[in-house]
Amino acid sequence: MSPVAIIDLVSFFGAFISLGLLISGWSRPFDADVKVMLLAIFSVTIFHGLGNVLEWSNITTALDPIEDYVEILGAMIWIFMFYAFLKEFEIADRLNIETALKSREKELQISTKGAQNEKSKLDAIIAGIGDGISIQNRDYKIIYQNDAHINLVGNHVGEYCYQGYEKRDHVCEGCPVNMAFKDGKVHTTERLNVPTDRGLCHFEVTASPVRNAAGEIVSGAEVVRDITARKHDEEELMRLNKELEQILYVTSHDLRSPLVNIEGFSKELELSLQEIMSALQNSDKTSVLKEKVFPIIQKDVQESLGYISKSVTKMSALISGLLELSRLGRLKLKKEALDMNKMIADILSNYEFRLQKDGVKTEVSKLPLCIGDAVQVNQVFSNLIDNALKYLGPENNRSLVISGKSENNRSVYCIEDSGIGISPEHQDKIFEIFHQLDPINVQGEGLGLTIAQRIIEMHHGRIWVESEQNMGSKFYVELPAPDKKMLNNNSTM
Amino acid sequence: MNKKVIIVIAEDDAGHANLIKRNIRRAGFQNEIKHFADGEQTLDYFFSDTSDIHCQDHLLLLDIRMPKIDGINVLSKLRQDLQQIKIPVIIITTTDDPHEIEKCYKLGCNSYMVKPIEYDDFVEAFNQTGLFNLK
Repeated sequence: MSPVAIIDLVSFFGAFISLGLLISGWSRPFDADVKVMLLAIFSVTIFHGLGNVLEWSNITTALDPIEDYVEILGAMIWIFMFYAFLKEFEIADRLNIETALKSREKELQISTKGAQNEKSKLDAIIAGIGDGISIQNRDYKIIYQNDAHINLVGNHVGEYCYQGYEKRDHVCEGCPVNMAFKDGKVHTTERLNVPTDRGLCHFEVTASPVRNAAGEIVSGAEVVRDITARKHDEEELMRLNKELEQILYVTSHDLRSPLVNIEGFSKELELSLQEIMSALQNSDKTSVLKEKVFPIIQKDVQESLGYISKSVTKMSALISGLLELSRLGRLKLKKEALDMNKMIADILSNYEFRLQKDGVKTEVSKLPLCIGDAVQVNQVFSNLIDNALKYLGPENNRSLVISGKSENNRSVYCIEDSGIGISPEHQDKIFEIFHQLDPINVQGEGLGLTIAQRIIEMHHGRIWVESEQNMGSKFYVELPAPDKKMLNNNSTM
Repeated sequence: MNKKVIIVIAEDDAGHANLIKRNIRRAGFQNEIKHFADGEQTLDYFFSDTSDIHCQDHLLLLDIRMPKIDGINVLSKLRQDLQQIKIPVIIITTTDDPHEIEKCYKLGCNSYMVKPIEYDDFVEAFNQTGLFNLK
């Protein structure tokens, strides 16, 4: 084989290789320029081969330059055609990209519109909200205030919050934003007597940390609520309550003072009358005095003094009850976890004699713990047990059942008696002050349940009754149950 | 019985004072009784130069609610400014408020009695002061 034939053979294979490369790599990874180059090689080699075929078939033997022209022309046509073809592909690519870009742009537009809508909503909410909202950066510089915030404390954007809001030169003590920066949690505090254009105001401030995508705290958002009016109302309410308690206390106290005289001097009168009667009895003279005065003193005057004494005792008891109620208002509760099993056992032991005397069977199941002031809770259960013993039912079936259960962090106790029961129309009234179911036969001032209810309310608990006439009563007391922390503290005490 | 003890009654209500006097007598005490109708008069007596508190035992029956200076302030002043002579003080008042009772004991009262007071209550309270050598 001649060297020319070898070159031709190589060219022929070159054509196939370039064609193969073109087909396999048409879409990717070749760039358009590489593709053009490959097409050129392919075209040249094909037309070179075509030239050779012509040469072999002796058609252009004498026309060698024509063969070359044919090869070159063919190559140029192919290059042009494939260039045009490639351009077409490029255009198509570009069109595809443009379409994709447009679609993406549309998506972005929709997203942006959505975000804008959300922002508008948020802006409207923030603008419409009565609470002031501001954002401070980590240096405590104010970077945002909503209108309500500006109305509350003035516009201080760009200033340090402690300077702008509270006219201080350092971060305020107990600053909730500072606390949120430290532990990353939400904190609420009251800022009292903050200087504003409207004078000193009271605010409730809730601060929460604002984090970036990496979870780092970059700023703090605070919601400020003006509680000046509420505080004033609370202060006024406290003042009025205090005044009312003071009036109640002083009135009750001062009412007792004349009663002491009435009671004391009634007794003095009684003593004096006894002396007079004794003198008259011992007198041997029958006189008008002895006949007429003695019976008056013995019957009428004694009877009158008896009524005075009874009324004074009753009034004294009522005033004592009022005093006790007024004291409850001033009482500071010492709350702790209470072992109700022990407390009920102690109370029942105090009533042991009475329970035996009246033939009352007692049954106490295991009781859950609760949180309360030991003295006051004892008073509640003592009053309830005392009540149960006051209104006992028939002698052959007298019982007192005390049970308890835990429900949703609350402890509920039930004192069930087999007594005379309470008719529905009286059930709402039994907790009213001085209300008595049976004032003639049952001793008391009608204060026991009022006091019990007041104490339970002070413990944020509930007290209620379920009862039917002649079917006994169930008094329920609901109190907060201690949490684990409180139980641990108690166990280490 | 120590008859030399002077019983001082600080009580603004004349009726109450009268009842207290009667019951003291009824309980058998024949001591001299001085009555003052307010806290100011009571303190004036104890702090006056002519007072015989340095040479004679005294027992003070003190009401709490009184005009001018109340019983709490009288007790407080006595305990603060008359530390060398600890005059026994029995509070006699109309309230059994535990808070007030605790306050009086903290200030140094010897006992606390709620009106009306029977004569036998006086015997017990006077006995506790240690002034009367009662059996």
